[in-house]
Amino acid sequence: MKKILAASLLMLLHVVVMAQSKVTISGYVTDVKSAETIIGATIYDVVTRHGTASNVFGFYSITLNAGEHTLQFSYVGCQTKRISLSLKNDTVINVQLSANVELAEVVVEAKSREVGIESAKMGSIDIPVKLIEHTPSLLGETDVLRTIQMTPGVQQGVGGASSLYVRGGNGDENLVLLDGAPVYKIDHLFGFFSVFTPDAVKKVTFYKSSFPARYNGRTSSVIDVRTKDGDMNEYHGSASIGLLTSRFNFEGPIAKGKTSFCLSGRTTYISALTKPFMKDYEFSYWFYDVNLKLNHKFSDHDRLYFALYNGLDKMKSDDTDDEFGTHSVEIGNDVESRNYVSAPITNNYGGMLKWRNFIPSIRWNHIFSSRLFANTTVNYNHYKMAMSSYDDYNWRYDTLRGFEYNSAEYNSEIEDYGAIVDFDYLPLPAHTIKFGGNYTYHNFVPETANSVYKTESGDDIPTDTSAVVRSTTIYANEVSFYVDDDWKLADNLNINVGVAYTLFALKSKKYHNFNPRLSVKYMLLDFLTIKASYSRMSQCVHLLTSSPIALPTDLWVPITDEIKPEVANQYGLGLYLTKWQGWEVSVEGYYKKLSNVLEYKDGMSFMGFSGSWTSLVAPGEGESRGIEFMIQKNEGRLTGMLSYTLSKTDRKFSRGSGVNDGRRFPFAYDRRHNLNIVANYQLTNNIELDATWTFHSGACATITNAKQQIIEPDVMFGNPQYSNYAAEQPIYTEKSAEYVPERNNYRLPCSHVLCMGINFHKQKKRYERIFNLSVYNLYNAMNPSLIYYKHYDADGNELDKPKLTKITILPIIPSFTLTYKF
Amino acid sequence: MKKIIYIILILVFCTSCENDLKPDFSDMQGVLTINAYLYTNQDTNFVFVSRTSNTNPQYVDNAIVEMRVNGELQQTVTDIFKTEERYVEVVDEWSERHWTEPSCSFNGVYMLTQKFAENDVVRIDVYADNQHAWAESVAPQKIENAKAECALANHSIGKYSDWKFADFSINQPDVSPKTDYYRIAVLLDYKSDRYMWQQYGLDFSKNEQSSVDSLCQVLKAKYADVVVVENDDCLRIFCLEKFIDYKNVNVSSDFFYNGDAILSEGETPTSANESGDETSDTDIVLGSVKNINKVYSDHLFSNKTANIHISVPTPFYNNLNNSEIIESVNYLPEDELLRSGSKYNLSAQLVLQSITSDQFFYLKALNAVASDAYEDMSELSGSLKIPSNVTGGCGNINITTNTVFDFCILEDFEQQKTISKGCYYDNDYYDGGDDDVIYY
Repeated sequence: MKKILAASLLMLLHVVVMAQSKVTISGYVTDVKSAETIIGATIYDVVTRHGTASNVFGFYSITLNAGEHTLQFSYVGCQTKRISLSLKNDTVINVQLSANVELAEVVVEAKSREVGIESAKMGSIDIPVKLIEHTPSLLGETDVLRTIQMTPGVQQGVGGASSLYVRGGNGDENLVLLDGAPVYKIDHLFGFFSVFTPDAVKKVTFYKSSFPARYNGRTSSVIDVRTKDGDMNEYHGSASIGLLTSRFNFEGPIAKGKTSFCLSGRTTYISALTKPFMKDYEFSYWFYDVNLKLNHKFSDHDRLYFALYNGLDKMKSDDTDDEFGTHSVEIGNDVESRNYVSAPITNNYGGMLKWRNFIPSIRWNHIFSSRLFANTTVNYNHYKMAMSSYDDYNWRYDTLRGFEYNSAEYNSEIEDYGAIVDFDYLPLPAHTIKFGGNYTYHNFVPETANSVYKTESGDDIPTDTSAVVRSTTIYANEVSFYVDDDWKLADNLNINVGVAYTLFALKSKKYHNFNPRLSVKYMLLDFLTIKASYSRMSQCVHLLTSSPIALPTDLWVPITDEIKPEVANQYGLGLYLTKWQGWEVSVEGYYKKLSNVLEYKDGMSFMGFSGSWTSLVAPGEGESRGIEFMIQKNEGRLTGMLSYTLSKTDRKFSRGSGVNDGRRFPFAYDRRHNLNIVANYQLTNNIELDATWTFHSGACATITNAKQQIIEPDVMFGNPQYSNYAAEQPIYTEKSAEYVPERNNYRLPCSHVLCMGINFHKQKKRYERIFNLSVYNLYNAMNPSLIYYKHYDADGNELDKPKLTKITILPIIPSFTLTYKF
Repeated sequence: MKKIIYIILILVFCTSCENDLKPDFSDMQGVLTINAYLYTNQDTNFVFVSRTSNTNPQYVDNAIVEMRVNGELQQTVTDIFKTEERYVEVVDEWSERHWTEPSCSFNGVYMLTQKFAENDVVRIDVYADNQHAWAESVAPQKIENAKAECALANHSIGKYSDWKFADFSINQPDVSPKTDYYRIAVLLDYKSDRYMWQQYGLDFSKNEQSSVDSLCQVLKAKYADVVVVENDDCLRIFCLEKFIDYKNVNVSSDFFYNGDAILSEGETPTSANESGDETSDTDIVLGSVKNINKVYSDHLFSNKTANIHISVPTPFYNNLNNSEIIESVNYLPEDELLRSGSKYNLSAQLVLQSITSDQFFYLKALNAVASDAYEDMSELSGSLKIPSNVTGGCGNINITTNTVFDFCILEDFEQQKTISKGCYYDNDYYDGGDDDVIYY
């Protein structure tokens, strides 16, 4: 007993001694001018070569041996800072970095320990705001999601749209976060613009594998968008006028050094521009985005943030037909004097479609100690879509009048209440532990539909009927707990190991998921690294859609008693060459296995209402495999990136499931080859050239190639009372319908698009003016956006045989943007 | 600047371009297609055999069709079912017109005459030109413990706002833990006997009483009744004519289910449903899919009881219960009223069909293909693959078990019309006209 006690005391003493010899430096990394926190800044001890990165809130912590050290703080676009220290105790050092005006790197960032090549994780990259700004724009709009499409392993849907299909996953398998809150509807104008205003964005991190354990809920990717906190020292902003939209950004201190704000907004004036072309009826479409951030620093240990996103799309049309027809009005009080006159009927009709995201959140950062940082977020998320239409016929004769009015309205909404707690804990130099939990209370109301029908005509009894159909509100509780450790086993060996537990609880059923994560990085040589990873993700909500373009009528629905969570197991292996004469090269291979992936059964599709949607879909399996090659040039006047992906993705459902007769079929966006080139050239100090060129193999489509016989049912037959009648004269209705042998049985032609842009900077006394001229699809490639069967020729004559026709939505489109920064 | 904007807008909104594609399907062979609606306990069932084709489906008249029940071969058919090229005589009792119509005849139709019962496993094999396709299904069970009621009602639904509806209320419990599938159909058997008083000939003077009497004797052999009306200055002979006005067995597939959650499955109750019209401009966005085949599943009332309400338009106007003065005759004495009218008989059969899941999804797909929404959606999302339960081919073998409810809604219901003094009764008013409309 005494020996055991003595040994324990010795061990404890050893730990204490060991601990006492370690010193932790922590603090915030911020921009020297704006005091904006810098996410992913690298903090590196040049002697021990031990490093870390600032977290999503700009906080860093690094534990070193006591003694003399030189810490290097660096970040893309900033001047590197070195601080020499003599460490004896835990120290708080807040570092401010200043912008590096000479270097305007716009390549995908890969220097952070959290993500990128330096990190143990694979398939994760930071997208710098400068890259977003320098990607040639569509219709004058730079876009976060379209920039992500340039990275390997990511496919776009319809050309020009901002939808993402990542490593064979569906479009609803991407977790898109705005300051930690999921965004359900991420686009405007049917997917051609995302809801993220580039002026409000501070950092975008994209994960397609090796997902940190704190991210759960989707199986294919995570896009973590962080918005600016606001300049704590000075007021400044920007205003841009483009072809279709204008936007502004204004930020500054409310209390200098303590409280700041950042306000961004964007709106469109498409309706005003199209009005000359639409004289005969009123049509309007507009959208807006507003981002507001308030940031208050109580002390070095406590910060409070308030963030708000409000975005709306609205489409409206109204029309009037004064000569719709006539209504016969009976006049006269008795039979002898009775007569009929004609009263003209006026028809007013129209409709409205709108959808809205409203996401406020409050966040509190607290530093418990130099080794323990906490972030607590409470958010509210409301997405609502509403459609309505009306049709009004009215007539009037003298004092008599009548009308027939009908209208219909259809709403769908999701309401979430969420709370998140995240801890960053650095107990030892070799360990960076993140742990925490997340709770979301979901309210899904897939449809509420109501219709009104009213009539009134002369002396007739007026009618007034209405009907309301409301789908049951689905309540769900989603809870997750996670822990992961970034562990430096040796100088050249890092692993990241983590696990997340998720619970999705419906009224009648609970789904538990354990999602382990593992990433290993081994440095073969100083410039050559090999990585391997495994991750498991699960998903408990799905987007019901049948269209390749984003429609506001697409519905998010949770899983049910019958539909299990979708699960993805992903394996990866990669080789990375870094710091080789300014070049970075990476090769990553992956294999992803999807389970319980959903597809609509044959003949079923989503057409605007989710009634019994679970009976219309079937669960099956998916496989995706590929090799991604990326090469980047980070230095010099010419910088850029080339990525190539060779991939194959398919789906298979069991026989009897109702999907493709149980045969394996290619995924809709199974594009075998994908090549993306991004180039940025600093022509002069004031002129930049940007170019992108994409090439990809054709996607798949389901087309018909023949007609089959269809027999419609006849109830008389099979009825003994009428069997003789029916037997003598069987009155089945025979028709022909399209015959489709297989799903996704046709490969579209390849697509390729060249986009170029040029930026002219002019520095004035109090502001900077930037004029951007861009051309989308410079050589007017006729890429197939959609296909359909054409039944009539240009003159309206019916064709002998329908012709398969492709539509190119986006041919050559020039655009411009004028920006003022002050 | 303005010019540049207009040019750019034209480019943006007006320059989407179309080009033809030329997919190569030259090596595609015709696929054997089997369609059938097989009814439990039915003497006669039909199987339709054809092949897919680039133009129109090609009938297959040389197939061998085998029917197995519970694994045992019951029947082999090699000859197609032919109806004679005969003409059917159709008589319109009202106008006494006769005409002939060719009876329907199909090609590629094979008749099966073996019965099978509920829960039997039925398999159909078809062999044709070295191709073999087959499908197997289990005959569903009859619906247990379902109740139904029927009553006439007035509804104001668009163009039917003046007509009476037969409202059916169906009370159907979910009796099994698994998901079952159903379909509803209604047959209306309608007959109207019209009787009408009409003046025979012109006015007779009062001293022609004997001639009138003799004439009446003759007329009584031809007409249901003969009445002589004595006016101030003349005698008039009125004859009562009785005839079957209209007789029809109407398979009413186009009934309304507005607001019924089971049949609509949450489908938006748009004005088009309300008005009874085809998809109207008020349908939202891309329109909705109407449940034209009236299929449903107990998924929506699992472990509960469904109350389904449907409304079927009848040929009767809303004033069925009223005796309405429609015309009047100048020359009738004020206190003499001769009532014409109609006697109506209306019976209905409500057929609740238990169908297989294959048939359910097949008919739902046909709902989608027939909808206006599909035309728009197919341009965006491609063609729909019609479900098939046929191995080695395509098509659908559907097995149905009927549960029938009979209703006598109207039996010799008499609606009298009054011919009163005041206006001339024009015989030409009743010239036949539209068979769907009852004139009175």
